[in-house]
Amino acid sequence: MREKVLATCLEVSPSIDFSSNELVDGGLLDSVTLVEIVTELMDVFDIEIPYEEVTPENFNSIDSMVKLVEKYV
Amino acid sequence: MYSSIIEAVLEHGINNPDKLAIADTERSYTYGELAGVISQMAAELSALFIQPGSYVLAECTQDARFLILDMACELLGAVFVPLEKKMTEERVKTIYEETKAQCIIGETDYSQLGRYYSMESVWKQLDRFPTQAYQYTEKFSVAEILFTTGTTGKPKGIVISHHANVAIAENIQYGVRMTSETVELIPLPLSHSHGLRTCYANLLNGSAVVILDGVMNVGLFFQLIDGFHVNAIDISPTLAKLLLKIARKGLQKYAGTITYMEIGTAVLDEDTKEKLKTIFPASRLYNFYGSTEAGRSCVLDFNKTDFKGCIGYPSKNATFYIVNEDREVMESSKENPGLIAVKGSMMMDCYLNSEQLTRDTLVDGVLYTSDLGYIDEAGRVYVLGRNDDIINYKGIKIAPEEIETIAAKYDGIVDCACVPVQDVLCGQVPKLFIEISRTEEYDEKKFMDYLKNNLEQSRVPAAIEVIDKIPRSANGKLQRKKLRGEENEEKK
Repeated sequence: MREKVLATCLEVSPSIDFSSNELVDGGLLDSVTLVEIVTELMDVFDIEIPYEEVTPENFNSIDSMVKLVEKYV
Repeated sequence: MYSSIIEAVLEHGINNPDKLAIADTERSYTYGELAGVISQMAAELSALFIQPGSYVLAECTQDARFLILDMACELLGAVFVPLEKKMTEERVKTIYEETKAQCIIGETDYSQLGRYYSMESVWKQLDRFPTQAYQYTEKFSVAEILFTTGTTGKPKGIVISHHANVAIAENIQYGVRMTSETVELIPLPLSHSHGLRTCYANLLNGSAVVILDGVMNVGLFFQLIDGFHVNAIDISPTLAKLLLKIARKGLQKYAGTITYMEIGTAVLDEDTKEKLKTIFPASRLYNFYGSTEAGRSCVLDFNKTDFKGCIGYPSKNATFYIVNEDREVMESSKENPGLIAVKGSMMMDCYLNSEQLTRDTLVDGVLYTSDLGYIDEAGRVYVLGRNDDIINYKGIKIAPEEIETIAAKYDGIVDCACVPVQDVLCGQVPKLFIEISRTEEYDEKKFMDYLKNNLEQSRVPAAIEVIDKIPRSANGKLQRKKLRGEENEEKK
């Protein structure tokens, strides 16, 4: 699961260092990239992520994204 | 008529002290409270030797504190100079030196550049200063200097008077038909003219502004709508697209409570426009035409009137002319467009320290733009595009947006921009730059076939080039000049 989430993120933006735990808070992800990641995760995992879950906390790291995806798979 | 935004705020503080004025995610103020905290901030700034005519550089904190600092500067007659969040030290240094600023206040440590105070420390000290009732009697001239993003060259400082700010605020207030019950959510950066002026319009009007720092926290966006009974929103096309992509259900849920939406800072593409019209059929959907130099000078409710290229009717304080290359007023039409010129009390004073540039741009109070357009018999203004951006194909004037709108709909196209390139036979032909999502799936021939099936022959790009990123400003404005620049370089 983690590898698939990471691969999805890298597909969207190969140049970002996704090992960071401050992807949003540290400014590595801007709003456009964040939205692209959200839509790609929804496509790849065939899930719907409610808009209320699009928060900096849920996208600050790959691990937090994995947790989020697992919740809706 | 008020002579400044702060004068209006102070009067609302007396007449409607319990009415909500400003809120953000951490604090909220009624007009009575706002007048009080502004007076405290003004007292603190005075203690820091800020006086009439002092330039105060303020890094945007995207919250109520930033607006309070702005209003306190107005109260003192200081000149407010907003800076983007985390602006580079190099740019801040340029602005600091050009304005001979008294100080910088913000969250990024700019202490290496000169006198610097952190917003946190300024805010913490506020309670040391008593609130006091100010009677606004001083009539200062210059309210603020707004520096352009400088992507087209050296940043220009645009000098805005209090009088112009009130006129711009009225353009918005009347343009969107604000009422006393308006509560407007603004997630746009307040360091830029669009978001800042929407705040001013509400403050002039005596209605409420709710500030949010972008839409990275989409849930919070809707929580604020709920919590403050927001009934108006000011967003950019980029933010609109983001919300449409991941929060369509949320927008649909709140559609009935939104009386109007302003979409500004950049051109709104047709696809986003249609989606918004579908989700908000009963709301007024506004697009303003204007610039930092000539604020909000034309307004269109595109839910009511949506003709191709139409930017609406001139705002309350604006007059439009169509002129030829010699700046002579001319009769215009779709077949015979000219250059747009604007006049009105919302105009800038000048460009800071640039007399020549001011003289070239503003002549007898008229701003001569590089936009090609015309005015119809009903007085509606139309824009075909920036003169530089228009593709002059065998005498036919083609707006790049016509091609970009179609190209953007193709699966796999993330973003695109069309520019004119010289052609021996046709004069100019369109060249399309595209940013794609999946390189391995992109097939240029299929894409070109799609364009040929969906565009008139004259609009089909002569060339397509895939690039990593379509250049856009921080506000989402397309920067075609950079692509034209690359073209010129290639031809050298």
